[in-house]
Amino acid sequence: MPKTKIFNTRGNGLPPCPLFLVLVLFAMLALGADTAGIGGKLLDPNGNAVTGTGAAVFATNIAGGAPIRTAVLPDGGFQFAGLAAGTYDIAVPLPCCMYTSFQRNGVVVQAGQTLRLDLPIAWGINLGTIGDDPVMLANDMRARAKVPVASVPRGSDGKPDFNGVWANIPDPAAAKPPPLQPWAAQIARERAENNRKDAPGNFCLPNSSVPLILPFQYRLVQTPKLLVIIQEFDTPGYRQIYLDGRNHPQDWNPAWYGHSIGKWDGDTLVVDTVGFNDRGWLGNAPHTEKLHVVERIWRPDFGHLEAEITMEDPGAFSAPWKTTIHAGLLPDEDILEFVCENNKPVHMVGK
Amino acid sequence: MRKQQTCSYGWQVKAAQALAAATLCIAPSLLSAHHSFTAEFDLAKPVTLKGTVTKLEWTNPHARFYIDVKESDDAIVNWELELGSPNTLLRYGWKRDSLKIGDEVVVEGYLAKDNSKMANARTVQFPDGRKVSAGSASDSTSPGAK
Repeated sequence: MPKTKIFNTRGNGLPPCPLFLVLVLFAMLALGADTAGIGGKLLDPNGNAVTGTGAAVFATNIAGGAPIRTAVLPDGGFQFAGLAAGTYDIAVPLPCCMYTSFQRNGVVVQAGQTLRLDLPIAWGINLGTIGDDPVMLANDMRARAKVPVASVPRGSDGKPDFNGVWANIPDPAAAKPPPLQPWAAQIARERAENNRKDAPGNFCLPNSSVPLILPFQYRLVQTPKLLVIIQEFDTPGYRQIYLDGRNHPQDWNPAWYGHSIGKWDGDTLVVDTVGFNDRGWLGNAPHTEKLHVVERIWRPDFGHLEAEITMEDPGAFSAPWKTTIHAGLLPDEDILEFVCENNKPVHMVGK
Repeated sequence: MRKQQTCSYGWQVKAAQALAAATLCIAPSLLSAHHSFTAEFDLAKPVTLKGTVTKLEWTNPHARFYIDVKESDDAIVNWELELGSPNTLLRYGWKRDSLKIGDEVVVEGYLAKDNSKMANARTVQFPDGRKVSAGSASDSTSPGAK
């Protein structure tokens, strides 16, 4: 048996030399004067590097082609190499709440040039307030979590066990708002223009009618007949999902979180919620008492939880709306007490 | 660990649509903090205040501290400064005695829109010169950092 040639592993009879030359030529092109680079750092208004966001920088050549992606490094730096000379639009999508997404168009880079481009990142809606970014906190907690590699645990009833502290993994795409009827869209616009000054959370009321979509960490406490979600940073912060086979009650006072019952579909828990009041917000969107939410929750592996959430509201939405959450396990974290006692909406001016 | 997701649905469209897609997909329509600081403070009015800590409120959803600022020879004004939640601050190494009554501090932030003597705190310089700031680097967020 002859020894396999390094450059001819497919055994197609071609001599190795041409392929080698092509590789050398490609390497020379990549390193040579015909290509360009862009690199720098993401800097916040305090002059600190923007790190820990899991963000990426996108460069789009205005001559065409797909955006080119490079990850932001742990020190806040980024580097594009091997770009074609030309004009690029640079974008950095960033999740709420510490920073605002960045966009700069028309960045020109010449052949052979490595352009130094530091990106000034503006504050997001929290205006850079120390200790006020739940998404960043969740990112940091997930980054330091020591998650064992193990199979999905199961309870005494054989069902997947969701017990644990979880934090959602930011997914900017999932922040797409629901399709709204004109009256509801108008309200959502006004709320955004007013910088959410009348949001229920400002008055120590629930931040969301569907708390699972909030960026705050939560603990799932699961028994065969009851699942309890204890959510930090929200009021009341606990939600009960009945797994004992009961139906929704006939007489029910509309409630902020509604009334939830769950049943298993294989390894997926299907939670059905109705009975909402019409005072809660979904992001900036209003909803009516007709809101109906189905959350399909499963645990794909030990360290992750997923939920597909479908909402319909014939009173406010123009179509059903689906979103997904992905959560990471935080084995060493606890949920802390959150009594909302000191919000001061009197200072909320709005615009 | 699951790969971090980005606005993938927006980046597959042609370049002319990319900006619109990026703008849409980062809108904080679902993710929001306890309240929007932009409703309360004015990004166009940065302020630096130097004063003495007079009071601390280690309360949810926002910790607050108050400082006496000498604004002229005969005027000392008490300012209210807003931080994030004590729960978050604790996880970044803050304790309720990280700031003490009587500490001389320098605070950078943005003024309240309603013209009251309030600002948010985006940096706090402690008496020993250490400066703690908002941001993603937890080292710079922690008062215990070297």
